[in-house]
Amino acid sequence: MAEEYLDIRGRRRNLLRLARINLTSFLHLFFYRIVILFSIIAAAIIIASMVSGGQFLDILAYASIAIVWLLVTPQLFGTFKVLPIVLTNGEAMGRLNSSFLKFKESVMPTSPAYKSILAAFPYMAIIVWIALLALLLAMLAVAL
Amino acid sequence: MERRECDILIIGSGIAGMSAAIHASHLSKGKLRVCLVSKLHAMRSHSVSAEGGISGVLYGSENNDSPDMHAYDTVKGSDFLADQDAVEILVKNAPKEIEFFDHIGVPWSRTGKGSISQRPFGGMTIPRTAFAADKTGFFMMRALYDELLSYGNVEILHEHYVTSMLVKRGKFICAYAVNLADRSGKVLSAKSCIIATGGYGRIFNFTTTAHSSTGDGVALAYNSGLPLKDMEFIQFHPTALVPTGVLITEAARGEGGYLLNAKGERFMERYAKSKMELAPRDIVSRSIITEIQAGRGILHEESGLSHVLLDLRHLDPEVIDEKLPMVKELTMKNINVDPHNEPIPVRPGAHYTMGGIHVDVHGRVFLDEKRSVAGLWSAGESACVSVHGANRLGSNSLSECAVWGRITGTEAARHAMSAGQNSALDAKSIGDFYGEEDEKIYELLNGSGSVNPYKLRDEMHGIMEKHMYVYRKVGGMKEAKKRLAKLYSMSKSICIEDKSTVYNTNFRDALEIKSLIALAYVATSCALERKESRGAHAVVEHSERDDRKWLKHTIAVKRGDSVGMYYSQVSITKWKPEKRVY
Amino acid sequence: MTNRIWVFMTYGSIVGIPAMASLFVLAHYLFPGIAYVFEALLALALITNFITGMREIYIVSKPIPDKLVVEPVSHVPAEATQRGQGKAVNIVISRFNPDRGIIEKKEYSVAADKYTSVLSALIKVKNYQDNTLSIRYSCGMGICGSCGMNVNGRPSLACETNLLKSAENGKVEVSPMLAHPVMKDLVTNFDDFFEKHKAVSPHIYKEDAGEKYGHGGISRQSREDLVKFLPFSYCIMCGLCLDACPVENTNPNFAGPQALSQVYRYAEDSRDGKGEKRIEMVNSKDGIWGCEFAGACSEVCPKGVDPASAIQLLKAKKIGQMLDPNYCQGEKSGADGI
Repeated sequence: MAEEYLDIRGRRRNLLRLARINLTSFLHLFFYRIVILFSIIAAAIIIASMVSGGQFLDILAYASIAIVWLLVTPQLFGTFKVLPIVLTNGEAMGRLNSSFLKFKESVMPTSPAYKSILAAFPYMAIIVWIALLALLLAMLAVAL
Repeated sequence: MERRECDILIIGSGIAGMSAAIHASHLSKGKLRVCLVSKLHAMRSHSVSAEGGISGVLYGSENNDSPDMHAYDTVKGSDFLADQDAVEILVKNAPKEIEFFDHIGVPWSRTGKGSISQRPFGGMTIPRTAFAADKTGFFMMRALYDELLSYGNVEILHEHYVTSMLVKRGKFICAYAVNLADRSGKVLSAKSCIIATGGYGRIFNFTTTAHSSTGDGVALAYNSGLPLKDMEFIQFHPTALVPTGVLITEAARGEGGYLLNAKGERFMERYAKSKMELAPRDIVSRSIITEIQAGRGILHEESGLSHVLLDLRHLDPEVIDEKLPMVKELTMKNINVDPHNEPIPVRPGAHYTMGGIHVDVHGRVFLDEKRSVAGLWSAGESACVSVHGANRLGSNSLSECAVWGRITGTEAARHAMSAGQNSALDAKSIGDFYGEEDEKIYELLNGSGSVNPYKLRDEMHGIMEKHMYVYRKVGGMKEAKKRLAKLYSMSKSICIEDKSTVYNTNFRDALEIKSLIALAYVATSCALERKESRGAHAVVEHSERDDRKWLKHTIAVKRGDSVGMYYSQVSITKWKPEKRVY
Repeated sequence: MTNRIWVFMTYGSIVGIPAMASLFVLAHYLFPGIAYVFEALLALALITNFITGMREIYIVSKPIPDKLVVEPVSHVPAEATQRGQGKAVNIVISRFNPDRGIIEKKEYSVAADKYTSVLSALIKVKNYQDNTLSIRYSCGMGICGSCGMNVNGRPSLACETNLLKSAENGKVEVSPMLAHPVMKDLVTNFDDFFEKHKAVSPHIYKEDAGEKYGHGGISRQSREDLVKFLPFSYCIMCGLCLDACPVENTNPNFAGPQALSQVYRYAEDSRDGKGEKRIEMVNSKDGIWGCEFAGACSEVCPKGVDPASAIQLLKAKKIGQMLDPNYCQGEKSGADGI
């Protein structure tokens, strides 16, 4: 019977669908898929610049690192988000049932300051990350 | 002919059905082949909608509670129509069942000491309703389903609709099920069968029950000529959300919610002085309707329904978030009302059917006045052991499902282990039965019928809402019976527009509507005969309870197109009927 | 063992790229002499990322066949039998026709007030306009989990979605979930979904089975223990999270957010005898390590189960076990659990 069903599992790659659900998820996946393709190009350029050492290739390598840098930002944000989730069992940065969260608060009160520091952590980390990108771009400008 | 042979066939996958499957499997150490048939996905049965909790005396010594007190409350709640031997079985086994559900993973709400919390409930003198927030039924269903998955001997047939069963020579032989996925029929033969298909609340339009609570198993028994008991007793839950009919749990009042009329009075003061909002459901429902009829209700503009208000504003917000999160979720999503800030519009809606298949205290289905069918049991809402009598107390239904799920599962397993193979005679009748049933399905789909099932159902809803609601009138019931008889004969020539073989819900709906109309007809016929007011059955002309004439169960049997009726004794052990005041 | 290499490659590259890139920049300023080491490691991380990513996303997946043709919309006007008053809303239903093997879009109009849910509108359509429409529904109050579908492209429970609020220009689009095989119209087949749930042994494990069925007494469970797993037990098995999950949609072998969240639910239950050993069952690339943490599952979950967090918590627990020298691995029992 199963052949008669419409089964397109495993073949639904259209990420735009995600944009209607959650923009963060969409950006996360969209950038990740580009970075996968782009990473091999970037790797080739970096290796080439290490081997030959020409100035043009060096600049290209810096530029490709800068692009990879930008593309992995949503991934990195996701990775940083795990820390508050793990430390608070899903309370900070999670999407748990809102009534449950109030109930949990009455059972195991956690200090709001602690929670807001944890919730701010991924954003802080991303700011540092972007600052480093600025440094990289400065290096690129110097190289040019 | 596709034939599936098993040892135990369980029709219905609610709490009773799945409990039975688990206990039968456990008892036989996973040897018996158990086949669980559900017309939905097994974990989606209507038991998931049970909210408030499950009753049972857990910490009797701490609360000054005892099973006897629980039994007395239940009997008094039932307006003394409950069979007291059955009630004693219920109260004795209920704590054991709560314990079992604890072991299989229900996340019971806990007190600070780590024991299971219990809350007050309508008609209960002591808080003895164990709960898991207000999703108790859901958590119990999930725990049962998950536990069931650990048994390799259980085959779950999701989305199979059982259209009829073969009972011959006083013995259950087989059932015929249609697979909704491809509309193929199969015969399920078994040594023991348990019917646990739930109630028929959908004979009403404004109801808290799921769209799937269509009493298929009850109609199945009725059409096989088996007796039904106390079909006239239909419980109306006082607090069904206006306009959708979604259930707002009694726990909302158990945790301290008030019922207010248009003037803002706690009107229950007038009707049940000591218990107030926590009087049994029949009394609260009648009080609400009396208030509305006296012009103290509020008209809901969009739906045209009059209602009263359930006020939770004075409750601690923490109580709502811990113990009533689902009430908040439902009101927010359905009518965009936050119970913290606004009262909830409610009115009585059909909720539970006390009546059902006539069974004894072991859940064995009666064949006639004395004998029972060999190899056939029924449990849960589809059965009428009569622990609920004329009116069920809140939270006793989950106990009943669990207790009789275990009893019937155990009995069915014992029977299946001792019973021999089917005889050649049975094999022949199974072949004939399959042919007949196949023919019937073909006839239904390709016959010359012209009646649209949905129109038929709407007409039935209109009749039931008008004449069989909280207050019933003799004249109205007479008219209802007459019109339902007509609908019943019309339901034989239903036309099914959808001819598809794959997941044909039009076909399933037609079968369900046929069951519903038959049951509505039976319920009305029984109600018309009972000339008294008892529990949920309130007749305007006979407003008093009449123990001399009517302390007896109504038994209804199919006699051609009409309903044959006789009566059976109520078993009374410890508690003599007395005046019912709260 | 292969598992470990795979996990190392995926997570190595995810952490490796940013780490090496930032060290590369800092090294250029601080120790220019050894910057090339980080440059080489960065290149390596990028190559690994390419290999693992391609395998997951591009090579495994095949294109959608041509047979899925979407037909033009045909409008079915509301009949006089339609009940109720209110605003007219057009519902465009993507109906899968199993006989023709295509999805047909049909448009119906229904009268809706501010309380009408998408489900009740669909039931109206079925009862009064087109009896052949197939929908799966039961409780109508968001607890049975039958009526999962896409409303305006967003996986939702039809009974909990308000029709007027979701209408865009008086129109609502409804389509079946495509992460499950579609049977007819909006109805999908859940067999594989249930199998995935079953595969993680979602039940309380007790060393001595008699304890479960005997009378071991009511367990003591503190409220602190209860809140550890409570929200994860809210799962109604509606299948919406799978429909939202981008990993599930490219790799059908992925255990999926639902099953993984249930592993965490049972692992955290103080009454369970297996506890954290359960993680071995899903310690694989189609288990927890398949998750890319897009978070779409938690976004659509109608009950607030937050499967995404549950999976990250499982990953963290597994990493904790890997770092703990005293932890007994038990690789045999679970390496290929799923």
